[in-house]
Amino acid sequence: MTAEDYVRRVSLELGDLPWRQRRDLVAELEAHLAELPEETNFHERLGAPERYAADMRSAAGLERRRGLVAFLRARRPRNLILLVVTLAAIGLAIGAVAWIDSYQPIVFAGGTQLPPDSKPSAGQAGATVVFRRGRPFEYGITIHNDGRFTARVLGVPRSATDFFKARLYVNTPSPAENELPLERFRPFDLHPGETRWLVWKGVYACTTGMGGGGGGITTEAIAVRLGFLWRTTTVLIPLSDPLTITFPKGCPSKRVAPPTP
Amino acid sequence: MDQAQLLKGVLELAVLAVIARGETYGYEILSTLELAGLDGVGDASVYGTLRRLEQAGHLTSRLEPSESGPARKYYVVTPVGREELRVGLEAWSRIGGALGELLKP
Repeated sequence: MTAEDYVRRVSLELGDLPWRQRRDLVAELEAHLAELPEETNFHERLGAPERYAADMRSAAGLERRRGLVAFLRARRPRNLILLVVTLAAIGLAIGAVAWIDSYQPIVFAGGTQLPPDSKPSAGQAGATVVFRRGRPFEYGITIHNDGRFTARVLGVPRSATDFFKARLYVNTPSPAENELPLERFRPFDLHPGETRWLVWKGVYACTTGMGGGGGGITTEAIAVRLGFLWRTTTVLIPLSDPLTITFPKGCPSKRVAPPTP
Repeated sequence: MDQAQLLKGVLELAVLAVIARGETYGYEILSTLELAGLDGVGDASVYGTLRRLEQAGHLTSRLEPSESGPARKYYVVTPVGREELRVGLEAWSRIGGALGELLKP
């Protein structure tokens, strides 16, 4: 073992000490080794470097330091690796949580089941239908999971601008989106690439306070409650075919209990 | 009882005594101690003792440039150090006498 090797190993053993103390001890050791005759076998004369380091500590009255500061100070490759790995793991965890919180894969799939007697809207996309209190109402849209992970469709919240009393239905999963065996809505998993119909069937009803005549509402997006891992959120699915309802006779402000979808 | 344990307690006295004979440096002190029969103490302890004595003001040092390697540190005992040595040796003989008495059959 050369003098440099010996000094290096002792220095490593003293890694937890403040750099000034370590520097002084190492300098002392270097001077000591320089005084020894040339052919000295350092290991034999001084003992193992680790042992010499321990002797230096006890001679100087220095305890082995513990704690985070000493750990970082020791600057062994192992410690640095542990530190980097820990920081990377924390970074990944934060990134993962942020991603999960923003995951929203549901889109409007382009399919619309229009209410009976609807007509294409004038001067804009979508259709228009005239409100007729008590008459049958039916409306459906397709939603599609555009992402890579399954999301759970938990429900469609009632809206203050709902103009109908209806039940919500969903079709059983099928490869051809035109098949419509419908059943009452229950929360379901929408898998990546899957498309499903959400259909409301009921009657026109005034559930909002819309006085006067000649008004209209355009539904441009549907609110859907989604669950993904631990997160529940309500997302707005924009519709490329909005539905406009006109109220030539208005909608008297009568509070009606909203039906359950 | 382990000789090393006993030696640690008197190492400061021994080191001061060696240097009091005349200016000297680390390795020479080690050899002198060894020749005198104090060889169980370990190099690190001797160098640690030198540093402590210098910090306490019992020794001063100077650097002598050397042709073969880094400068060598030479130590001398200070007046304070001599006083310490005197007091220490007195205490040592007192203790040695007492122990001798106790060890008598």
